[in-house]
Amino acid sequence: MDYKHTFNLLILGLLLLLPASLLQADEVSESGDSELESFFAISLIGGVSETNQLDQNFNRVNTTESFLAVNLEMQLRWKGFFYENPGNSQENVDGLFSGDAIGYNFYNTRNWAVDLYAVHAHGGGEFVFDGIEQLYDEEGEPAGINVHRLTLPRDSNYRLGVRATGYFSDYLMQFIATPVSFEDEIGGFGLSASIRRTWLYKNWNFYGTVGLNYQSSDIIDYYWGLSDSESAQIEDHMRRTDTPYKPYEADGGVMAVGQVGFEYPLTEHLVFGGFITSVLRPDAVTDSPLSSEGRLVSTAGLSVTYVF
Amino acid sequence: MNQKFLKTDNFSYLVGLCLSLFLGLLPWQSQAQQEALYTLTLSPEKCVALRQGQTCYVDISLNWKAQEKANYCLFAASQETPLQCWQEAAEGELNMEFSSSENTWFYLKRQQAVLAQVELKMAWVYKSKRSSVTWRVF
Repeated sequence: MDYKHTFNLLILGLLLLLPASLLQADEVSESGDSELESFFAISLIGGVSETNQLDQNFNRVNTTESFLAVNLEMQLRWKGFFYENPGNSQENVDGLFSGDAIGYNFYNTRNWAVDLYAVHAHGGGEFVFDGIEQLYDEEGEPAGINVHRLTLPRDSNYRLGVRATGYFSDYLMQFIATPVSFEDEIGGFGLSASIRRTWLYKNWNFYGTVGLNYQSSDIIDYYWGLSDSESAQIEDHMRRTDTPYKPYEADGGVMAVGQVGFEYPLTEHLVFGGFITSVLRPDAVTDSPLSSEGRLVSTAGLSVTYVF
Repeated sequence: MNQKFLKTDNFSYLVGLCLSLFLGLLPWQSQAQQEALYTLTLSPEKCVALRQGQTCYVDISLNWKAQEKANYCLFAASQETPLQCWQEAAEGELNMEFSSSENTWFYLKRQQAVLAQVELKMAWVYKSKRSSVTWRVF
């Protein structure tokens, strides 16, 4: 069964259900909980990202790349059901390790909200290897090149889990456990914990966040492991044996993330922000021959967010 | 006869209507005259915080004018003591940093009489939305 499509259908169904429920919600009560709550924001983010990467000769070199991106952030809530698409704001839509998710908020205390949710935990993609073959004519003279492309695909990881978010005056804490993967091929389990502290100076909102994210060997190995057959495919494709693409089986590992930033309201709808994020990737990932980026990846950026 | 009586009745009705309109307009005229006599303006009129419930900080400018010189004071609704007083003045300006988490009225007063007022409104970008429900099953 294709669980990605199931997940997408669930999201689509919820999106279709929520507007229809608006009419009902008005009739239920005035508690506020029965009404559809929504949050939409669009951010323009620009900045730089620094790490070290493998070059064509498999040497590590420091690289700095600039980026400019548009990010859509959304949250819909109705009677405990929610759909959220994390974004750049610190509006509590997302914690440090959340992704696109649908779920149900089933338990609350004064400070804690506990959700059962399905989350897009890892993005899919493919590793691409270009093999260059020199072509010659009948007389043995060079006649161009032929580029062969080898791709090693990795599926997205949609997971089912429980999320507990603690709201305290200046702190936001979040614990996530995702023991079930919708992809049988991936399996494994994930655990994460993060804490955010907010400081106010007049209308400036400063924050600092730290978090740890553990992924079991099944997850890391699915994305960063290299099987015997894949290794042979690569070397055959590149017509080289002096490559680092040897078979690799990954262990579990912990990723650490630190972030500091600020937000300042320019108007009721416009927020100016900035952030610096550093990600310390686990050895299980950086040791992989498929990992071109280094152990530390740092990103700094400025953003302007329009909140609808 | 009957027709004449009706005319008299119409006349009385018209007089009554005019009198009512005149009397009804008196408070409006009085208010308009007072507004013309005393003006109080605020800039900016809105303070924007990031999150609902946060204290909002803003540099405000209050300007007032009166047609006659006297002793005037500016008050904020949240404070009993005046923000500033002027002796034998017909106009004044107050620039200050103000902070509040809720809408606040500012008043121009002479003795205890409120002569003009203006409101500073609080606004925010992110709404507070924590649920109070404990367990729930649909």
